[in-house]
Amino acid sequence: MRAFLTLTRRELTMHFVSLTGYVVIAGVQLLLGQSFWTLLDALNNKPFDMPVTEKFFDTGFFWLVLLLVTPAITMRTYAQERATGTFETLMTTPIGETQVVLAKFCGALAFFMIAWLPAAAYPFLLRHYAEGMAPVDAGPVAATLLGIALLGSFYMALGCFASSLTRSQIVAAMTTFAIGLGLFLLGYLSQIRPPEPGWQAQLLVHISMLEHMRDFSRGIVDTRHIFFYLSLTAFFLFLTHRVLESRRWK
Amino acid sequence: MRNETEQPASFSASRRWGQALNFVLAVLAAAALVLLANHLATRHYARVAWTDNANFKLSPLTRQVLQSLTNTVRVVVYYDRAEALYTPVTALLKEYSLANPRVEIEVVNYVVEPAKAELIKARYRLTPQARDLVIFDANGKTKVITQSDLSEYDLAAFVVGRDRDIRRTGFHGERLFTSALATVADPATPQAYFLTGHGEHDHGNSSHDVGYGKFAALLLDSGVRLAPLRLAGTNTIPADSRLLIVAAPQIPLDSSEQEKLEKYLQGGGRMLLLLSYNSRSGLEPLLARWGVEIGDNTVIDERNSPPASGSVLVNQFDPHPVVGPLASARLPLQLVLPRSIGRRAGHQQNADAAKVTELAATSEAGLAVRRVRNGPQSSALRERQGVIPLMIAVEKGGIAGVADAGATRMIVAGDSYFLDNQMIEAAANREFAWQAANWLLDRPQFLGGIGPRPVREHTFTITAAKMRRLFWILVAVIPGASLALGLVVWIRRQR
Amino acid sequence: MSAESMIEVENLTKRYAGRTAIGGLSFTVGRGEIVGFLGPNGAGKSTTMRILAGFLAATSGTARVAGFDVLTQSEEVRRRIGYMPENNPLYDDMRVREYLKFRARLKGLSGAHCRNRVDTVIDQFGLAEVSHKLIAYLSKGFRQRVGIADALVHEPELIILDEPTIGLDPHQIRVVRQLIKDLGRRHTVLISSHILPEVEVTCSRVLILHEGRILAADTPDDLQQRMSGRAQVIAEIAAPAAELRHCWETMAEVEEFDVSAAEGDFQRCALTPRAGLDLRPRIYDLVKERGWRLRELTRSRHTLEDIFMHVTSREREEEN
Repeated sequence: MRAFLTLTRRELTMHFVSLTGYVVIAGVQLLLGQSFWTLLDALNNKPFDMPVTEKFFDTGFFWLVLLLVTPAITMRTYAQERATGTFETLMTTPIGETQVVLAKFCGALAFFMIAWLPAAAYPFLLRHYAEGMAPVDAGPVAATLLGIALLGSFYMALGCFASSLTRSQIVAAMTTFAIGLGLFLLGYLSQIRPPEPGWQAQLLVHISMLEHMRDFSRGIVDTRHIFFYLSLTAFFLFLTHRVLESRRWK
Repeated sequence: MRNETEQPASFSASRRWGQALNFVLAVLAAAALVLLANHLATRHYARVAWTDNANFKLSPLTRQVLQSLTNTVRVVVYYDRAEALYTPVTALLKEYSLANPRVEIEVVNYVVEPAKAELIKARYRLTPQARDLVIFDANGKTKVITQSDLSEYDLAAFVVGRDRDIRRTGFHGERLFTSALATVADPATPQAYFLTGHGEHDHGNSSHDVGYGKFAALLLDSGVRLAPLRLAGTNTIPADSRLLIVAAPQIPLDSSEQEKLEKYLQGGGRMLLLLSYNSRSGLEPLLARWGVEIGDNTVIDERNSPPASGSVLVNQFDPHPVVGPLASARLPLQLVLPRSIGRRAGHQQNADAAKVTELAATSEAGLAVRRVRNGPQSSALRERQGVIPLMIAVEKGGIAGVADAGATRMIVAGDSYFLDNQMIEAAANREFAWQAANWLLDRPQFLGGIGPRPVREHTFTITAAKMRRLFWILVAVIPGASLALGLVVWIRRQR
Repeated sequence: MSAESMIEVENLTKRYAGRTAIGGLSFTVGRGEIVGFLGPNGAGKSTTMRILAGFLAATSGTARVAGFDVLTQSEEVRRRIGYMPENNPLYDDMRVREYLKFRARLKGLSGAHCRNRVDTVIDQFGLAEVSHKLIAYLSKGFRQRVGIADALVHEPELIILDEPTIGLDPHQIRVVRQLIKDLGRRHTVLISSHILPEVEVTCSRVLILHEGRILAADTPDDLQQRMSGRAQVIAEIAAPAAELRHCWETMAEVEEFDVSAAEGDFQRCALTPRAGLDLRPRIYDLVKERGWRLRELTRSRHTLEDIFMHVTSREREEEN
């Protein structure tokens, strides 16, 4: 457990001792700030009947952030260590593979959530600058945060898995981006061309991240979405664990 | 010395194959577990709304209707995606289908899918110009809801020039969808009759204030067939009548008509009787036999009357299924100059006799004023003070609460204007009409909930100067601060 | 006898896609020994060490460290070893103290004990002056010291160092060799090298690896003994080439010779003695006697190549 915490701390601070971590956060904040401002500009003085959070996720910048930032965070986890050789020093300490997998995942997820942190100021900015604004409903905001954490953990687990397969950070990043984009487009497809009712449609709705995030941003928490992300996160972490372990018998 | 045969070699081909097999099996098992977990999660789930926004939270009534569905209901959203209502319509229907997967939704965008659109048009015999519709289809029954039904617009603001666009102020999606669903889902279409010939409210009139057109539309929406009924001459109450509505007759019913009515009620008939302050039904003796006493008076409630309106807001309800939901939702009824309707003194509340329940009453500040008609002048006379009952429900034959074909049911209300075209949208009058009709029609699946609430609207204003400042904060200050922090840390670590 | 032997390797084989990295390796290392792996690049030194450290799996065979199987009891094994891989990979973005502390915690040390050990190794390896520097900015010598410090921060029973002196300058090499010698007093040490003198001065035993097989396993003295017979003598003499050739041909002690022209009128002669004799006094006498000028007279060092030539030729002979 101590080794796990030590490694998690290292995985998180890694981003903050070099400039790259701050550049990633600045990039995320620039994208979010730009989209939030555009949204405010569009809604200014016009009545609208959706929660602000839902409008915000309709702008699409969230997906850009998720799809681009995930590879940037996770490509380093294993590929960099493999390339520099530190993977060997790490794996020959008495720390188990499970702890390594979990620590790297937790570090990546924590950094992802921290990259979002400055956006917590948005409701306060809105309250300070906007007149006639009904208080921002805390429910949708909390549900949105839950959604971000769930999607984030799924994507981080996916990225860690892709990174564990290779020693090239570029390959890891491309793989993560490609799979992430593919899954996103699968959901997007069902939006632009809804399929006939049937099990295919049910399946598409079940895996459509757009639908999930729309629910969360409306303040709706569905146990199915939670299970979907938790189970897939666990699955990819398990795969990563198996990949790390395979080195010892392959 | 170690016995070599007891300790196998660390590495060997067989061990490697074993590990590889284990790897493959474990991955397959994990994948299967993920599928199973998701499958189970879709079958047993909870969907909680962390918001009060009515758009995404289905009302208890809708949930009840959805729960009672036993057949697949196909919902075709025949819409152009660019339409403003497309998003709320699909979002709402998604909640329906999530609450009950028997509701299957098919979206047909007639702009990009003309072939599919033609198919839909042919199947539902739509006119060539038809567009932007929601079609409910089950059990061979269909129900089409047009775009104009769904919205309520603030035309006044547009005309005055206050708004550039016509503002949508209301979205009736849930109300219309739920009743459409109830209609198509119930294979039966009960027959209801409006008694005519005595100056009753006209159920075919939707434009006049005192018409009953909107009330009739509500019944039609919930899948009831309607017909007028005259009892004069040899006419009798048809055997298929599941509900008889007597809406404030101005001319008293004659004895033969009363006899037919009595016979109908004794045989397990259902009746909604609405008696306004000025109606003269002549049914007092008949109702007295059922334990109901009709006051010839006007009731006011000093505590609950909006000034100079003549109406009374009623919020004292019995937990009876018809009005219980109004009580729990704290929604009042708005009656116009009601008269008192109560249980007759000395009426026996035993198993053989009719069970009479006073549904609604005034507060303690109620006051019944007697109209004394002597000659052209009429003078008021204080008759009663205190809690005055205004509506009753009568049930006989069945065990209380359990519906059975032979049970007689009757609701008598001390007003009729509260359900007319002008008043039905006031307070919870529409909900009462829905509840009363469905209780009388023995459709418990439609009871127990309140219909949808109004749309919540957000708006805010930010001045141009503040907008500029916000821009700099969002796009420059926050990302810049993060970069600056990074630089500081980086420089410090270079030492 | 696992109590006495730190490492037991039996029939260890590792094949990578058809290529055999190590084939049927068997050896034991006793407690307290300093053992050197000697071999050219690609001889299987690193592969063997990685298998012992539990990082890689072998194709077949058995390997035990302190009596624990490296595959099935990997964690117990890893608890007992300090391993510095080839090229000594480190986290460049960490400071020296940060790094050592991080590593100590990973290896299960905590609290005051962890701090003490980190301070001890920092003192022991003279890292105090760089302890707040980023590892990225360290010189090669300091990096190597950090790597070795990391390998023994948790006081392991067995220390495995893969090429600990590669890329260092002579002074640094001397420092590192001394460090390794000191370690041998309390730990079992396994190092690898491709330079014989390194192994010669630090190790109590040498294992010579070539193409994944142990060709010789001996103490450095015995190896020396075996090798001295093959030591070439180089002499640069100003004399006519034909005359020199004649001399060497007639000299009974010379088994093989080679004469090539050097700058000026000097001739460079490479002479291989017969039966372990030292040819230098004889050459000196010859030069003095003929009145030639002598510019260089050296006996070549025991290069790895010599050893390989020796052991592989013997192997060839045995095959014939």
